[in-house]
Amino acid sequence: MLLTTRNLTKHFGGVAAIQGLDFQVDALETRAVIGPNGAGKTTLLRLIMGELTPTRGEIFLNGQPIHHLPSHRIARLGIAKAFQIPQIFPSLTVAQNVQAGVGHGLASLWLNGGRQAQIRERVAQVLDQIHLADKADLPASELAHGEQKRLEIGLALAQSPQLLLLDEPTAGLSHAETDEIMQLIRSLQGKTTLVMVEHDMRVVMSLADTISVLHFGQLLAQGTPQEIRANPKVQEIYLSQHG
Amino acid sequence: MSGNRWQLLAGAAGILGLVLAPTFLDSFWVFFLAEILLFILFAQSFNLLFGYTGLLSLGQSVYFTVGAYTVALLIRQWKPGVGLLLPAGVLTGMVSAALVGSLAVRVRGHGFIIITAVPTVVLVLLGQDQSAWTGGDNGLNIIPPKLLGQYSFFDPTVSYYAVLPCFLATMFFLRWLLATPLGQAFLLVRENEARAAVLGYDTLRLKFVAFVIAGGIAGLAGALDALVTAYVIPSSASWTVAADAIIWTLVGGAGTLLGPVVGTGVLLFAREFLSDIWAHGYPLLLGLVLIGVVLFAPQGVVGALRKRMGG
Repeated sequence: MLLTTRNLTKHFGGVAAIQGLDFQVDALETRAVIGPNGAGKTTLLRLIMGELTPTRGEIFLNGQPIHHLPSHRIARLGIAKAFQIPQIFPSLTVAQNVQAGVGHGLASLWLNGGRQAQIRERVAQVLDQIHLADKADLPASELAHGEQKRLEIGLALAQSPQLLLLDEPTAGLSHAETDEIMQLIRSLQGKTTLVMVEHDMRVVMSLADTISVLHFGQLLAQGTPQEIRANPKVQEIYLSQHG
Repeated sequence: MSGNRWQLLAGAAGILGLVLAPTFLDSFWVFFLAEILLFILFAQSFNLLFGYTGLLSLGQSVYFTVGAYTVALLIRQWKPGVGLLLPAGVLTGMVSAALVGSLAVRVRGHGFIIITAVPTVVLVLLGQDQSAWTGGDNGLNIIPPKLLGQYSFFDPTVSYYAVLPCFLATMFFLRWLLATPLGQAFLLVRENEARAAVLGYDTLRLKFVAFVIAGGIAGLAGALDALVTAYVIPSSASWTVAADAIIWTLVGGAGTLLGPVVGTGVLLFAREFLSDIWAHGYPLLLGLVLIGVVLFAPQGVVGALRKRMGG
């Protein structure tokens, strides 16, 4: 198991966003996490990334506990996250944004000075991957929303993570832009472990190996896209929401 | 490319002008220019924090005063040379900034501002209370050591040529620092601290390093001020002195190295010029300038010019 959570619990005031969750992700699989609003999907990603500390329970990466670590340490262990709302560096150029993902901690910041060529090469690679090579020198704030979403994923990709967390990678995108993101995700499948929170069922059903359904912070169901589609409990919560 | 060449040319001309200034200015203006240069360094210490790292420090006057008193007290005790006094001012500025910074960088927003501001009050009160060795409200007159064993700081030209190399060295240091990956990482903290942390940057440590470096620069400015004016006073730690650096930086343009140079130069010159002819002129002018900058050039004079030329 690449990632394991044991009895993971997070309370906000009196509200339990995640309740005693046992969750496992295999190396190199593509996992979709779905569920109605307030099911705890985003909270789960934030807990894994160290942006929140669990009220109870544990998180392990390759068997190592990480739930007590700050975000930057978790990032250096090989977990990266692309945010739902692009969290880019607006006044820096697109290339500088990607380069920020290649950099690391203070000690290596000095060392990085000596391997500029490698860094530039990596930045160029990522810019190609996210189809923004032609906008490399524009300030990131001037990108369209769809491009900002791609750059957001590019920041995470630049870290060469072993586990990539994607929080609603296609939220707010047009059909065509969604296709572009799906293509990008497909190109990562089998090379990087992916955990994505996603509302668009077209994306979920066509990309995920396994789907985990969260409901009130607990695992309601888990299985292949076919199994989840056929699951009456899942149909019920989705029908009660959208019907 | 040609833009870079013009910048280089303008920079070289500026440096040449500064080096030759004492040959065509009378001693009053030479002294005044020395003061402007050291106050530009003081403003740069705020600029490094606010303009480049996104940290609004209201307490840079503390490290300025610590640097100044380090020089004054060392002179009173041991009369060391300038070669020791200036590094000592930088060092004590850095150490005192490390003390405050280790607390301050852990809190964001208002908390940070308050933690940086508290020592300004403490230091002023402490200085007034311990008047036996601080001079209290009267301050302390000191006799600076002779530069290179023979040139007196009471000669404005000597003062000027002591300040100028420090000014140029610090400007080049900042230019270099901000181009390194470390300096680039400061920008990430300014732009989006939470995102930088998720990317693997230890933002607490980055903020701490910026705070300590800024403390060293303020300490250097304070040490130079003590030597040039031959005088130190506890009230220089007041937050109103820190606010001067903030205003100079904001008017000139935070987040650019040229901004504090322009802001400090223009506003100090205006203050000097107006104080002779109209006592209330400077505060009024400053108020109008601030309103104008906030309304029409929120990125400061240099920021606005750069935008206009870029676009």
